[in-house]
Amino acid sequence: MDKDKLQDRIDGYLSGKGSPEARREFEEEISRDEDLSRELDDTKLAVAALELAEDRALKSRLQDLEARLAHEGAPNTEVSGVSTPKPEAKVIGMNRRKGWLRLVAYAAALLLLLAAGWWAIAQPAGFDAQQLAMDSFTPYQNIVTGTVRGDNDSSAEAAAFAEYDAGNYVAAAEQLSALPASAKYDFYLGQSLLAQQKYAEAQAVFSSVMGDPDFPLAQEAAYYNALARLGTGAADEARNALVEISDTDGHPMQDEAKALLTKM
Amino acid sequence: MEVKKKPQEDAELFAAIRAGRHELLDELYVQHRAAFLIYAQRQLYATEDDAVDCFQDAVIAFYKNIVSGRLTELTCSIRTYLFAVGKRLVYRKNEKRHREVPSDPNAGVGLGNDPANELDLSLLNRFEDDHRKALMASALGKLGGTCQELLTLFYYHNYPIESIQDSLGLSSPGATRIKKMRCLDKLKKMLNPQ
Repeated sequence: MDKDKLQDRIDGYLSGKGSPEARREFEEEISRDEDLSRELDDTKLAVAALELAEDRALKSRLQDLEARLAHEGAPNTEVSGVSTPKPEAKVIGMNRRKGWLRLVAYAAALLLLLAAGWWAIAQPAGFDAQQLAMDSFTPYQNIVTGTVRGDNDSSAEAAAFAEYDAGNYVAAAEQLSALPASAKYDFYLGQSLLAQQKYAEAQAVFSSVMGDPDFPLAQEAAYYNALARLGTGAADEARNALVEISDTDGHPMQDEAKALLTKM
Repeated sequence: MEVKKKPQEDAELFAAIRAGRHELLDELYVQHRAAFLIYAQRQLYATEDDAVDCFQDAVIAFYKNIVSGRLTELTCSIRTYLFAVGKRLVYRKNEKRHREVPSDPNAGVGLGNDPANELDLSLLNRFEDDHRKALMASALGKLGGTCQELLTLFYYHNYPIESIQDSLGLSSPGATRIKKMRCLDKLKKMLNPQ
């Protein structure tokens, strides 16, 4: 075969193009043809090198941007107050005759302190329920198929979890719904719905799996159920569920529940 | 010169990045950086440096998922996506930091500890990995600017041949394809000298 065409096929395969049948055929061809297999490996290595270099270039670009932002005085984001050295304040002696200025400065500083204190205290309450639910939500890691990286497995399950891993939650939800009834699929369906902020639907799904004594992620489902409740605005119900979780020693989501309760 | 409009909404920004405007990552970074840094330090107990590092990696991961075709549709806000990825990275960093806390070197001696434990193996893997990365970096350094740019646009940013032709000022799509093949062959040979 023409070398260019062969490379086009390899490129297409590596970028995930082609129907499952065409990809399977190509894989069979690779297993039979040593030269083709070597070309594929060489291309993979070349792509890995390009990826490494471009990752580094992007990282370096963002680091430069970060340095510029820090230099230009982007909003102070230091919380612990240890790492970023701040320019020393210039001290200017105040004239005794202008004592009233000092009083005004004290008053201003006091006001500033009060405002900052009020702001710090008011922060948690500043979140609305939905915002808090979303801020506290991280889609649960795919432990069914492991992270899918465009590999060969074209089963419906692998396809659904590939969408899930890629963050395509609409497609993931659709495909997970089409899989045979199972608590594990429902659990990830709930995750996909929660990611889309479909709180009521997510809650219904989590409710159905959290009571399943044979499901190993039932406790996790209870936590996500509480998050979904919070998203629907049922803050009291969510709080009660979270208190129960945070009071259960050894609960896998105990820390998360405690952290969330402090913000409610 | 064409002045490209700055996308305002998430969907617009997502579509523009998907269409190849990777310079908009800076926009994205500036938009969500401060909120993430505060969130990561307050709620995930990250150091400021770790929070910055993880947020940068989250932005890169977001971009790579778009160009690789793994993220084809935005089903949550960009901020939610970046926070979710960033949060996972911070957790990983926190765990690593926790593992690196020095412990009593004599602890466990005589209790059947195997020197070839997981940590030792992971260190060996890391050295091998670093060596491989150094080889890759050195090969790319010798490849030449245009070749590297062409291959990066094609394989990393997934630009179509016609866009690469425009970007690099090459004479035709056919000439671009030929150049791409030559550059790729050159890189393969440098990475796999036989």
